[in-house]
Amino acid sequence: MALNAKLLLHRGDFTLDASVRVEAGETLALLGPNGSGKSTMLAAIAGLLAPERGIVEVNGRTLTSVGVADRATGRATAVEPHERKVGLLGQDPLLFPHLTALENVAFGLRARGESATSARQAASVWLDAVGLSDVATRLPGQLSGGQQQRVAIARALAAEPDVLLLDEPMAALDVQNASAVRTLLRERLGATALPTIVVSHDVVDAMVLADRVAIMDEGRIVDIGEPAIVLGQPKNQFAANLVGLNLMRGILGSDGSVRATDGRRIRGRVVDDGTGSNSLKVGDVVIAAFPPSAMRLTVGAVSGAVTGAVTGAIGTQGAAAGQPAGSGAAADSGAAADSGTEEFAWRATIGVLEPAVRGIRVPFLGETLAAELTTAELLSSGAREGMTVTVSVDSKLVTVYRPRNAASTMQR
Amino acid sequence: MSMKNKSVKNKSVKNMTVKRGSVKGVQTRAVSGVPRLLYFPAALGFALLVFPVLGLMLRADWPRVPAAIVSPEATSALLLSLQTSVTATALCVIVGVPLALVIARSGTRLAGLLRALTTLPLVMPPLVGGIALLYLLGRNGLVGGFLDLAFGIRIPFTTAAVVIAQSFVALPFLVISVEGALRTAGTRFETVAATLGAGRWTVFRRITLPLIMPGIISGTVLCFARALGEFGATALFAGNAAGITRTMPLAIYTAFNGAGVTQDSAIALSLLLIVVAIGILLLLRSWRPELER
Repeated sequence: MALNAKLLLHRGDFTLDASVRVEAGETLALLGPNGSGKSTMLAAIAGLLAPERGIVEVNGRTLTSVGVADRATGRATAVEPHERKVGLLGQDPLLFPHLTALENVAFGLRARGESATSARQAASVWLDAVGLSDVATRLPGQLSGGQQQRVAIARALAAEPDVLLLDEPMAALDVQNASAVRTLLRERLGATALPTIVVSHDVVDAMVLADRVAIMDEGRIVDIGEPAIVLGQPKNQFAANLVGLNLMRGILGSDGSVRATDGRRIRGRVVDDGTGSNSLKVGDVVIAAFPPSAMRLTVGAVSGAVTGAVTGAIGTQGAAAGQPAGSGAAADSGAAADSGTEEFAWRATIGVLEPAVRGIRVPFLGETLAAELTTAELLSSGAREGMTVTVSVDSKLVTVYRPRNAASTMQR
Repeated sequence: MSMKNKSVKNKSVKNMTVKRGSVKGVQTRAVSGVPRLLYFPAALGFALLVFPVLGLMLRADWPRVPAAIVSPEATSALLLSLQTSVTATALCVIVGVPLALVIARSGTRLAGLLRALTTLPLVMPPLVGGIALLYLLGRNGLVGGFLDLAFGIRIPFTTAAVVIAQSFVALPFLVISVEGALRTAGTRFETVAATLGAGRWTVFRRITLPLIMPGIISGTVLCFARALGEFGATALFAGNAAGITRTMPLAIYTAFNGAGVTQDSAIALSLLLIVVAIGILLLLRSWRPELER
């Protein structure tokens, strides 16, 4: 059993143009910003939205086929949602409020014509599997949010779908319930051979549940692959934000440094992208990624550790080129040793500080980059909101890699 | 453990603040406060609704009320009223629920048009409705002429005409109520049911109908009450033949005008109708808790 979907559809200004293939027993995590088309894609696979062009096939059975030239029959196919055997579970459990937990789970089987007794028997096995046999006779209103979602999972699986689509199934739950439901899903999905797509905002979902990760942006799948690659070496800002990395795109220089389009330079460790086919050459377009905690801020004593190029780009404080950067950059001793630290530092103005898990997040005005410091580090650096400071990056924490090619779409 | 203690502590601190009578106490008072000026129109409205009924009860010749109620004229009218109203209500449920479903699931423009046409009898004087029915189903009417010629069926001035007139004026109440319930319920549960493999008929039977049941029940009660009180369209389209088309409202009218029964029995019959109406109201209120669930 495998799911194969190629979809093209417009809704107002939005265009969905994406292809995806999910093998039997495989779980694909679909990540992307709001409005990137993740839910639209699931709705089209479930038959709730008709694409203008596209194919949806499950296990060789055609569920949708519209306007695809190379199909033998040439006729459009649009199997009704209830005949697709495509299970859909959203963030809202949507348990039928007038039916007990058990009747909710039994619903799919009864709809397929099973007798009430045998459907109930199967349903109670499923309720047991999600650990809720003791609340079988309760109405949804008497269950907690986490319990409701577990019943909804049992209900979706009990209907014996050929494909499972999960649309942010943990989004409405608190942290504890979310991780319980996530663990349950991992167990249940492991026990089935269903192709599964799970849409999420949460990188944990991708790490725990997914065999592969796809990043969706503006209706297209912009990256797809193993979680370690797609999330470990993010190629767009959304994926980088998701895993909490800063991204800088630039050209690989002869000394192994990366020069961004605005002239900023950064040094790092060149890594393989997992395809094994490449070795990066000077002049290649590359991405440098580093955690916010790798950034160092310097104020005060330093009169300006800025290269000419960066002064042009940021265009703020007068800089005495050639002067060594301050103590923060000096901490980056490995980089400072060979080619002059000042080349790998730049000036930036601190934006509005935000709390972060490990301390304080320091965004810079007009940039996507952000630093993260412990409170003690921030205090001792003397940096404050609105100050223009010298920024450098610990090169030991920077990885440099090649951007991967975009995934296939219908429009070329 | 320490976390738990902390939260308990916080709670108790909160409670203390409330006891000191700051935020929470003030809020409660503000919410329940009705501007004093508004009590006057409110009392006036209440009086307008209640005083006429009280007047009727004061005017009633109570010792003779039981006799008037059990008189053959009264019992026959009451029985006819109940029979026709129940039949009309059943008819309204059978056609009204599907009609409401079609309206609720139509596109915005079509739904607007259908809703406007459906609610027309609500804004139309019942007398006009009676005339319209007469011109449609009368012997010279569009459909009535055909029925007469082809099958020899004549509808006006029969008990069937009473039922049709009652249905005509009562149906909008049911449709509006049910359509509102359908819109509130939305289509999300139906979509889920479809992804679980339920066809349209199964979804309607097992999901849609149970979800909108409170709306159907309150709509049915309203519909029945309207059918029971129907006068204008019935008078014009069905006439006022004792035992055939003389329902309670027509019997009251007839009695009040002095033909057949006395004005005292008009009052007695009115009181009887009021009792039945109150019974319906109580029924409606007893269904409300069901609606909350």
